[in-house]
Amino acid sequence: MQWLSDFWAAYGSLAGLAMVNAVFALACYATLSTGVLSFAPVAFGAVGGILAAQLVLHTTIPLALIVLCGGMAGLGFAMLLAPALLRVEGHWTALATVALVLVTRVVVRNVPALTGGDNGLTVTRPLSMAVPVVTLLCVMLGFRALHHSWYGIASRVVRDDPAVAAGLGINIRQTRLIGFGVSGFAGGLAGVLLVLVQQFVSPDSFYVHVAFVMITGAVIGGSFHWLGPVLGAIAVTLLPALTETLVPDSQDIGSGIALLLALVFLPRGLFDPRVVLLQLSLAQATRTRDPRYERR
Amino acid sequence: MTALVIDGLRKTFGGVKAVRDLSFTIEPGSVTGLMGPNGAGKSTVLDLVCGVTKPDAGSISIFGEDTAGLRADQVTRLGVARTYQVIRLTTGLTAVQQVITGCYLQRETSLLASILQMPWARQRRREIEDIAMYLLDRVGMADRADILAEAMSYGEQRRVEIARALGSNPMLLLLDEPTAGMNVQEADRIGTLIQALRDDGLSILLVEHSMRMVADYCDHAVVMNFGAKITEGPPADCLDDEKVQDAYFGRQRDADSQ
Ligand SMILES: Nc1ncnc2c1ncn2[C@@H]1O[C@H](COP(=O)(O)OP(=O)(O)O)[C@@H](O)[C@H]1O
Ligand SMILES: [Mg+2]
Repeated sequence: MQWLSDFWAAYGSLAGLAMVNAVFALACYATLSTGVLSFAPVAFGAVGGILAAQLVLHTTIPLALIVLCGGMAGLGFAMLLAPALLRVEGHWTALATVALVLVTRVVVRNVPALTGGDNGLTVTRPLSMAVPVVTLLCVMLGFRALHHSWYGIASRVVRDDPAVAAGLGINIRQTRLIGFGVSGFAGGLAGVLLVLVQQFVSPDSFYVHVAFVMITGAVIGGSFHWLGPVLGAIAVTLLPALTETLVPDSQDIGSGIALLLALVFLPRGLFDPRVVLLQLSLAQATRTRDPRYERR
Repeated sequence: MTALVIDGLRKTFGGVKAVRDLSFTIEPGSVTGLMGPNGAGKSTVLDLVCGVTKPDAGSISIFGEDTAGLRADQVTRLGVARTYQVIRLTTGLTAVQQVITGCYLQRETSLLASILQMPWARQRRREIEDIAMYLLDRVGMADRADILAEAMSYGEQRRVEIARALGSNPMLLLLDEPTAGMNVQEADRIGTLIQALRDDGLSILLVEHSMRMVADYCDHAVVMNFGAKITEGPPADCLDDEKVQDAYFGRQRDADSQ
């Protein structure tokens, strides 16, 4: 088992970060699956993460409870913002959330009592790897349940064609509000995990790089099933480390190239259940096609 | 109660008067054919009835309820369902999944119960799956339930779309050229289905370009041209009407270019 602890010493924090990013990517997927591109999980994460930092520093609440509090704080913040964000149309929502990310940083810098300001806060609480692992698994189970629920069914139609969804009696706004709620909860959890894994929080913790990882994770992994963003975020986190060992000082070039390749060759991402389904369907369609219905 | 009352309906897109002062009613349990050359404004009427677009003037009432100020999903809840002239099925869903999305209003399950997969929620979902299979069977698609809609032929997709529209158990069904691009046999099967649905008590507005479909399967016909009603009455009388003949064969090109 020596190799395992060696591996853990060398790559433990990277594995932790991969799980954090997976939860962030799921938070992004939550609104994306209702047809809304939003970078707001960065701000939801900041709220959850900073609350967690304060709870760790000033209380002795068990970690599991702190994680949950962060999620609830993200959810609350999301429900506060969602009505305003959904007032603007389509692409403007995305732009409004970009503005939100920028505003978040300004606020975090200027409330040093809570956030440590530019110097940041060191958050020391020994962290077992079980915390991010269990949190990620729970979030994945949650997304699986959502996927199979009536909300999941409604969101697929809303994303594909809002007018058709309305024609089926689906309330578009309500569906998207739920999407934001899920995004807020997952974003809050991701923020807590980020603070706990890095044992540090500063204005740089929650900034555009998180948004970049989130969106590349969803694009590379695939945004048509919850498993896609998880795989994508893990890949996007591990890729720079990998390219760094192969090509020193290559920095983010690796993920940039991976994003471009994914966009060109896998427009629906690494994981897309439709690919298999389509092959099966085409095979079955030609086998069972009823000649009576064929156009001549 | 009258299924649909349209009174003085008007809609303009930019300079195009798509619907002008249109009035007609649909009796419950009847099939009304809405005819007219391309660009006459038939699809716009459906959009207005469904609440997708708002009229500039006039009123629409569905089973006695005025739809003014209602969102499209609220209009749907009055018991309206529709299909589209250009097929609009959801990408990545199989035929049975498409119909299940249509059953959304029949889910009878709270959000929480659905997410937590409570026993009664699972039970209801199984019932919904049975309903969806039954509806696919009605349109003759039961054997293709697990095939992705986008892998199907055009006519098959149209039939899945009709099954999806039936999923909400509507009282008023709006069909926008359901037989476009179908051969005669296929169209006749749709016609037979429409009459069977009417015999079950549904009120149907059938937008049709084809005179034959209206003559064979409708109880009543309304003919439009340039956004206005030119005549209405029993299908056979309408088709013989000089104004209708003129609209279809005389001034077709004008209507297309408008
Ligand atoms: N959303 C729209 N924007 C602008 N013009 C439209 C729109 N919808 C329909 N029209 C115009 O209104 C007229 C009627 O169209 P439509 O209702 O689709 O006719 P039909 O279904 O009878 O063929 C056409 O001239 C069409 O170009
Ligand atoms: Mg039309």
